[in-house]
Amino acid sequence: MRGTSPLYRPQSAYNLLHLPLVGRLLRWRWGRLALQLPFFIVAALLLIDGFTGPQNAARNLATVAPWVQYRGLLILAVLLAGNLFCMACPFTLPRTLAKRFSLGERRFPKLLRNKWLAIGGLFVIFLLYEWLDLWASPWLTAWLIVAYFVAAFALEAFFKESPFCKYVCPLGSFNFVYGTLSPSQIAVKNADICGQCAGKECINGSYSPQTVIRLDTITLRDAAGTEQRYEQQVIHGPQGTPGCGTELFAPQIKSNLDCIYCLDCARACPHQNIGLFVRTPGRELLQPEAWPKRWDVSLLVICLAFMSVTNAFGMVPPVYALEQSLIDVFGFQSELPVLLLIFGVGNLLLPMGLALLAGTLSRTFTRSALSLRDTVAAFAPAFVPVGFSIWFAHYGFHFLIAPLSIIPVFQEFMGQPGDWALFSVALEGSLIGLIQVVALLGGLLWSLVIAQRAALRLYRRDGLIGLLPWAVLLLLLMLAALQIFSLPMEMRGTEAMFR
Amino acid sequence: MKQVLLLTGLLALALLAGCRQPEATPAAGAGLEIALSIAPEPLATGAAEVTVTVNQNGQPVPIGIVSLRGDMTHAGMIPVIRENITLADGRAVVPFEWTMGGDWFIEVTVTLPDGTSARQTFDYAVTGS
Ligand code: SF4
Ligand code: SF4
Repeated sequence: MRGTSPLYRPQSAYNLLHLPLVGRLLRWRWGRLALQLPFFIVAALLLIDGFTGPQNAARNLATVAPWVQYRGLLILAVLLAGNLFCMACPFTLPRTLAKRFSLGERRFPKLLRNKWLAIGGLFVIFLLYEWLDLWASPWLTAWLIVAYFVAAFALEAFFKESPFCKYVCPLGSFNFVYGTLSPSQIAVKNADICGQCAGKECINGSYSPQTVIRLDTITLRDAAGTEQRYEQQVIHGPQGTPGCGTELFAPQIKSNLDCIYCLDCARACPHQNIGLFVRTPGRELLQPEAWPKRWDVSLLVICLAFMSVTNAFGMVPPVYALEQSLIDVFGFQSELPVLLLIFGVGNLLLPMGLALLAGTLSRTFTRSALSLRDTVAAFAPAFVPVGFSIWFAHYGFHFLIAPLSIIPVFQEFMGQPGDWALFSVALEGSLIGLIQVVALLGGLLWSLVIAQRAALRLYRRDGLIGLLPWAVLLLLLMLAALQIFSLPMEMRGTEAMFR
Repeated sequence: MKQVLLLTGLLALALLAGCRQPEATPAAGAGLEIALSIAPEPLATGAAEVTVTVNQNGQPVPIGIVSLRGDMTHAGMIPVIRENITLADGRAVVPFEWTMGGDWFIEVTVTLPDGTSARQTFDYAVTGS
């Protein structure tokens, strides 16, 4: 158990675990496995097609499913429901197996228990995506999937908690950041029960090599002040449920950051005291106490927003001109140093430098005594909607220009002729453009509201001047994105430049 | 329980993999030389016209059927497919469309009345507009 902050439960309309069928499935002991298994099968199909199928990215499951369908649906799911893809993630399916072969009860090194690895992981994955043209290579994408399985398995086997999900996985880091916009969140039903719960199974789990039975006595008061006492038998044993792998303590959860929606906590809680509650989307972005005041978390959010711009920039003609001029100036012989330079500046130096600059300016303008770290942490949540909207515009574009293309690809995978004519439906280009603009402007507006609230909270009467550097930064980010999306997309590789 | 579910999944997978049939590939080559020329140049998004020329042993083939499939190297793009176009005197003019800027490849399949068949792929870089 960690932390001593007061027990907390959001005002909520509905517990999704009470939904008729879905709720039962989710609460079921094997509920997560039932969700992971189909995705595990899908991952295996991608591997089969990636390694043995046609090396034509448009006709191979290994490239179409992850680079088009997965990204498009993920972004919708995270906005409309929650971190569903981590919930059904097949990479963690071997978790139990890994725990069986566990090489010890080691904790992940303290030095690495933060988001710096996640920032590095995201940087590397976007770099590899461009450098190796993963979008064009079923074979390399299949290897990437293998690497994910191996990394997840190894880290699960070596360490006690789930360090892969919490500290390493780039997909998880993406989902954590944008899961803060989701309309659902894990929370406890009655904080008083948690106060009297002896085992805190939600985080500690209920696994033990021998069966141990405990009796928890819980005393509750109803609205009229009448005391009610009940006893709950708690069984620990070899069939026990793991506790929260990302080490979140359910009664203190105020944010979706780090929550993989595995619902292990709900299954482990002997008092059935945990729910997946409906809440106001993005609620925690306006709650300063829900947001850790840490450099790594703040910069993860800000860097990810900038990565959305550089990622889209990689698809428009000016990137080729920029690459060519870098080749001319520095005489690079291969693409890697060129991309390292562009991505290093665009994804790391620029966001970090500009965040520090904006923080310093707002502190100077308002003569605030708040530390630079806390200032940046206060404004970091404002980068969530803007970043999300840019990813949405980009991934949504790829998805909407061929939303059903996976069907003929699957038909061909099964040895049938692909019915491309039937499944060629696509949204009109102008309509996609409209959706992109609405999403981008909506994201900017939402971000500005969050930044304005933070400025008013921190600087009161000086709120406007304190907001200014951040508002300019958000606006610049959005203008860059609008400019990129107004250019014609060019999906091409750059090897020819180095021949 | 978990093991049973896993095993069932893996079995289903093996079955699916087994069901997979190799794509029927026409005999490559067969003395057929395929050439493509595309107008307008430089290549840019929009309508285009592909001229397919097929020679056999240096002579234009008298008759045949040609099919074209244009794909982008990027996953998730709908292909441009033109099928069953008649080849006359070793030549066919096929209306085509570059639907987006980027890297493309056109796969041309030629089938002669005697069943001789050949397939060849041509790469193109198209500018977005
Ligand atoms: S196990 Fe359940 S009752 Fe106990 S602390 Fe966790 S959420 Fe509360
Ligand atoms: S166990 Fe942890 S990660 Fe899983 S749903 Fe509960 S709080 Fe989230």
